Amino acid sequence: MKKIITVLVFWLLCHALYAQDKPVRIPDIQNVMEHLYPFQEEELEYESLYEQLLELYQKPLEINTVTIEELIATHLLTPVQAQTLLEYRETIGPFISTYELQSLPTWDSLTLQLILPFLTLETQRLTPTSFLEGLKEGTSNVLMRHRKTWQLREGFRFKDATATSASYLGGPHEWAIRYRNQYPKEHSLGFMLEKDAGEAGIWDPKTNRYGFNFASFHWVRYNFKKWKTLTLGDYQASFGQGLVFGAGFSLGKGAESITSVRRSSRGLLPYTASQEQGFFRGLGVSRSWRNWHCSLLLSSVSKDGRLTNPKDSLDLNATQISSLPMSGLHRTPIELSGKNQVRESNVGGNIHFQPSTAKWTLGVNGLVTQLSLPLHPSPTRYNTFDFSGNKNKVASMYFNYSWKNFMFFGETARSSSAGAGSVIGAIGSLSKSIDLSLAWRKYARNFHSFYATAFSESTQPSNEQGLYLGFQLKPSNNLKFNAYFDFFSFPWLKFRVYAPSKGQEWLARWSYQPNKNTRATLQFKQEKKLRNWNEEEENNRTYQLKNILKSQAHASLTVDLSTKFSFRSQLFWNGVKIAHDPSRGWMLVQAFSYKQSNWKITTSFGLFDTESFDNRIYAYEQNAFGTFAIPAFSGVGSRQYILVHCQIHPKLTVYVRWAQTFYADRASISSGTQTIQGPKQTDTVLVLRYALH
Amino acid sequence: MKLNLFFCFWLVFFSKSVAQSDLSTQAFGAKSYGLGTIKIFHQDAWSLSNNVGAMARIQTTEIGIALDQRYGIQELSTSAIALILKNPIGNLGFSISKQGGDSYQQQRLGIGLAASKGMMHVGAKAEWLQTYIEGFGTGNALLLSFGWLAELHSKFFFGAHLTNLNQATLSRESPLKIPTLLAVGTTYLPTKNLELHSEVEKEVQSPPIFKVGIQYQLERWIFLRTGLTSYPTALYFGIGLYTKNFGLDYALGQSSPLGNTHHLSLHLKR
Repeated sequence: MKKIITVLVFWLLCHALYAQDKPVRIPDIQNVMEHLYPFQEEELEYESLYEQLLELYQKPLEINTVTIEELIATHLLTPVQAQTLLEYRETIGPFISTYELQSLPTWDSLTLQLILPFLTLETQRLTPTSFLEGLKEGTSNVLMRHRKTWQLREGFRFKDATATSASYLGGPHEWAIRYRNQYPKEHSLGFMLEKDAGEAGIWDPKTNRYGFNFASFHWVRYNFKKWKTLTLGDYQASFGQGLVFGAGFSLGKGAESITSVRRSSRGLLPYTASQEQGFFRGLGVSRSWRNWHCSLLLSSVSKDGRLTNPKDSLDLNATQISSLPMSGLHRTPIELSGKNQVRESNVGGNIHFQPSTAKWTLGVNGLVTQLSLPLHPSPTRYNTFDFSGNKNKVASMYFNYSWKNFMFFGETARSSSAGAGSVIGAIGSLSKSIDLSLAWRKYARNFHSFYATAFSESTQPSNEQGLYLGFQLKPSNNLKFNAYFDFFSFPWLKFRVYAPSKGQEWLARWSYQPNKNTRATLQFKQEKKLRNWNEEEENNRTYQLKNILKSQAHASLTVDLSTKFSFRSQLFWNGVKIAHDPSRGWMLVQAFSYKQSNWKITTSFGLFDTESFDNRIYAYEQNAFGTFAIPAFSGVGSRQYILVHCQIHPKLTVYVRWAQTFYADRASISSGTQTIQGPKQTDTVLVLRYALH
Repeated sequence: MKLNLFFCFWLVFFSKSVAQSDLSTQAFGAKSYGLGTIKIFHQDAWSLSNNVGAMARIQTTEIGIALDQRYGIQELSTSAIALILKNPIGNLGFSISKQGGDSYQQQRLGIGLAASKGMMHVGAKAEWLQTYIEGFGTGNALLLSFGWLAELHSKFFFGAHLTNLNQATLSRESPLKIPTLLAVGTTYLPTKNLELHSEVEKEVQSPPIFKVGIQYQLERWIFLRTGLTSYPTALYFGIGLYTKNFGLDYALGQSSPLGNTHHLSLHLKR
C-alpha cells in the first residue's frame, strides 16, 4: 500500500507541474545496449558498457570536431561510416544541423537512431581562463540512489546474539552517492560512495571500514600546458587491442558483428563505475611530442584477498593468498575478513606513434604488477597454468593500419610467465551495403594479463585460440542483417571442462525499421561447447565431456503509437541440449510507456517458464538513470515493474522504480544467505539527480 | 579384421564427411573451396565436376589442374585435371580425377555437355568411377548427373545439381550405394566486385549442409574469398590471382579436429 501511495504522490506531483513545458531528454541507453548485446551470459561486464555509454551520453561527441577513433569507439559505427562523416565535413564544411547526417551515403536510419543521442552540434565554448572558472562553467550534478529488496533475506534474520559467521552485518538498504563536474576537453572531477545491501556503514579502521564500503574519486585535467592528460585518483587505461590495457567492457561478440571486434585506443580515462575492481588508483600522465604520445601510470590499490597460512608453521612470514574475490561484497564477517588484505602496485607505460596522415599507428605497452602477498590458489588440474606468485610483468606491441576501405589491427603480448597472446584482425566494407570483419586470436594457457579486455570467448584472454568472421548486410535503408560465426578451442582444461575442448558459436540478427515509429528485430544465436558430464557423482573420478548445444531466439517489436504513447512486445525462447537431453525456456514481455513533457511512466508485465537453470533468460529492463541490472529469470512465474521518471524542478529529476517477481513453482527464492522465504520478491529503486549548474 | 576395417572406413566416409572426402561428392577447384565448397555458380574449368549446367556459360576453352591435400593424409588427397571446349552447339567437358594412395584409391573419368537456352543453362554428364581397396579388388560404377543454372536477373542466379541420379552402387557385387546428392544454390552479385553465395546440399543419410561464401575482387587481378559450411563446421579462406589467360587459386580449410586442408588449382584460358 505504501508503495502505491508513493507512486501516486509522484504522479500527482508530476501532473501538477505539467504546465512547465520543458522537454525531458530521456536517455535510452538500455535500448542501445540491447542492440549491441542482445543475449547476455553474465551480468558483471555489461555494467561497464553501460557506464561507458552513460559517460558518452553525458558528454556527447561534437560532430564538428570528433575524430575517427572516437566515432569507432562507440561501437555503433563501422570505420567506413565514420570515414564518411569526416569526408563530408571536409568537403562540405561543418555540420549546421544533425539532419545533415541523414544525407551521409553510408548511414542508414537504424544507425542514425542509435548514434544520435551520443552526438551533439554544440562546439566547445571558450576555454576557461582558470581551473576554478572551469569548475564553475562545467556541468555538474549530484546523484543519489537508494535500492532495497523488501523481503528479508536469510542473512538479515540473525542479529547480535544469534549472529553466525554467515549473518549480514548491515541493513538491507543500498546507498550510492555520486558527484561529477566536467567540462569537455578541460577537466572531469568526481567522487562516488557506495554501500551494498547487507554491508554495515560504520567507521572501523580495524576491519578497513570507513563509512561507505566503496569510495572512488577522480580528477582529470586535459590539455593542461604541455600535458595531454593528468589524472589523479581512480582511472582506467585503454591502448591497443586491450591485451595489456583494456578499459570498460571486454565482451567482443555482439550483434554489431563488424564493429565489436576491434578495440580503440582511448588513452587514460576517469573511472566512474561502481565495480570494486578493474581500475588503477594513483597517478596517470600523458604527454605528446609531435606525433609521439607517451603515458605513464602509477597505481597502488587495496584488494580483497582470502588469506591462508601454509601448513608448515615454521615460516611465520609465509602468509599467502588463496584467491582474490571480485564481487566487492563485504556483508558477512567472512567476507569482511578478506577486505583490503592485499596491496596491488602497478607501474605501467605506453608509447604511441601516429604519423600526421593518421593512416597507421604503432605502439608499445608495458605493465608491472606487484602484490604485497603471493597468490597461490589451491592447486587443481585446470588452474595449473594460472597466475601464481606476487609479480607479473606484461608487455606488448600493437598496430592499426587503414588501407582503402579496410582497417587492419593487431596486438601481440608476452607475460613474465613466458606465455604469449596475440590478436589480429581486419574490418572492411566490401560494398556500400556489405561489411565484413575477421579476427584471429591465440592466447597461451600461461598468458597472464590482469587488466586485459581483449577479444575472446572466455572472460580472460588466456588458454584460447579462435577465429571469428562477421558479416553485415544492409539491403535497404531500413533493413539490416548481421551475422557472425566464431570457432574457438581451449588447449588446456577449464573450470567444469576437464579436457582440452572446442566450441563454436553463431548469431544472426535482422533489424527492420519500416518507419520512424516502428522497430522490429529478430535474432537467433547458437552455441556449442563441451562440459563435464558426471561432475555430480562424487565417487566417479573420471570425467567425460558432453556437448552442450544452446540455442536462443529473441523477437521484439516496438511501436510508438503517438508522440506520447508507445508499446513494446518481446518474446524470448531458448533450448538447451545437454548430450541428448533437451530442455526449453521462454518468456513473454509486454511493456507500455506514456510520456508527457516532463515525466514518463513505463510499465511492463512478463511471464516466464523455463525448465532448468540452464534455460534462464536474461531480459533487459528499463531502469532508473545511472542504474543498471539485467535480471535472470528461471522457473515459472511472472515479472512486473513500474518506472516513473519525472523532472519536478528544472534542476531536480526523480526516478522511482518498483519491480516484483512472483514464482509459481517455489516456496523460497535464491539460496544460502540470500534466501527469501515465500514466492515473491519486491525491489525498489529511488534516484534523485540534481543538476548544480 | 579386414572386413571390419572396410566397413568402418565406409561408415565414416558416408556418414561424416560426405561433402569433403568422397570423390563423387566433393567440390573441385580452389575457388570453390575458398567459398566454403560452393558448387552451383562457378563457370570455370571445374564446372563439369561442380555443376555441369554452369559449364554452358563458359566463353573460351579452358584447361585446369587441381590439387587437394587434406590433413596430411595421402588417402584423402585428390588430384584432378579438367578441360572444357567451347563449342557452338554446347560446351563439352572432360575431367579425370584421382584420390587415395596405395591401399585405397578412387579414380573418376567424366564427360559432359552443357547448352544455354535464354536465361537457362542446362547440362548433363556421365562419369565412370573406379574404386580400389587393397585386398578387395576393384569396383566400377557409372554415374549420371544433371545440373542447371538460371539467370533470374543480371545480379541474381539460382541453380541446382543432382549427382548420381541413377543411384549406382560401388560395384556390381557391392550393395553399398554411392551417395546421391542434391545441391541447390543462389548467387547474388550486389556490385561488380562482390559475389555472395549460399547453398544447401543434402545427401539421403546425412543432415543438410548449409554453405555461405563471399568473394571480393580487391584489384582487377586479386580475388579474396571466405566461406563456411555447417556440417562438418568448417571455415575456408581463399585467394585468386588472375591474369588474362592464366589463373592461380589457393584455399585453406580450417577447424577440423584433424587439422587443415589445402587446395590449389591453376587454369589456362585460350
